[in-house]
Amino acid sequence: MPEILEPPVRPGVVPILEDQPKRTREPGYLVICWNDPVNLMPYVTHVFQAVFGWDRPRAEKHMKEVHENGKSVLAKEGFEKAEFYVHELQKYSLQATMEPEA
Amino acid sequence: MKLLSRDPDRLVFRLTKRDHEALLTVLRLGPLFPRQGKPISRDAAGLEKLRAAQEDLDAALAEHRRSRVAEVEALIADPARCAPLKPSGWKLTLSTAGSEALLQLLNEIRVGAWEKLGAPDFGANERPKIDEENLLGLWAFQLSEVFQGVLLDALVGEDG
Repeated sequence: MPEILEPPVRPGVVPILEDQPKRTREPGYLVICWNDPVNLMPYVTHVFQAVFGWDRPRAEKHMKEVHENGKSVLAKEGFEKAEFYVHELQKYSLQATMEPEA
Repeated sequence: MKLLSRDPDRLVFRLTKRDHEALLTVLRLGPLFPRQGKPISRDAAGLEKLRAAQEDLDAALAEHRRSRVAEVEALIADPARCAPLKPSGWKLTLSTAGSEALLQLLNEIRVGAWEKLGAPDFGANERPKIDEENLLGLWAFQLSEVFQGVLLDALVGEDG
């Protein structure tokens, strides 16, 4: 009876990023929101909820980081997804940028 | 501007005649306060990929502004969504998308007016001079904030 070999990755199972060799990963970009003296805190919280689909406590945590620390890292993504988030955040007039991960 | 009712997909406001006039006026002032372009990245200006992305961002934001202004103008002109009330006032009905469009546009006017006022840090007690040059900007800044606050309060009420 032939031996049935199990595929290295079963269908429907997504390999964990950390298990992949480092050289195969796409370079990461940090999506950062910077503090400014104009956007209202409830507005910033609302935008984070609208753009990322976060619940209010998570959105408020990042809003407070922006306000108190001058910036908050909102996401770490590949180039296109990070670019998408920066577009969405800037449509709401927030000061958002994408920075290559160090 | 006062919230009359709210459900998951819709906000309904009552506007007095003066609210309605003020909202239309502040929306019409938008072109006087164009936003300055913003960088897509602070630390990687030299990367070719990001230079191209900056051009894409500038084009996308310009197109987004045009479509958002058109969307809000259509909303305000649509009697099904912005209808006169008897004996006076107006009823403004906003879908989720309409609320977001109006919120974005009001904030853009507010931020644009703030930039034109010299981007003062009000928290550090910087105050723009009250003179003829600044008066319209100050008015637009404060009035757009009032409408924005009412909208945000209504939206926050949606999810507690």
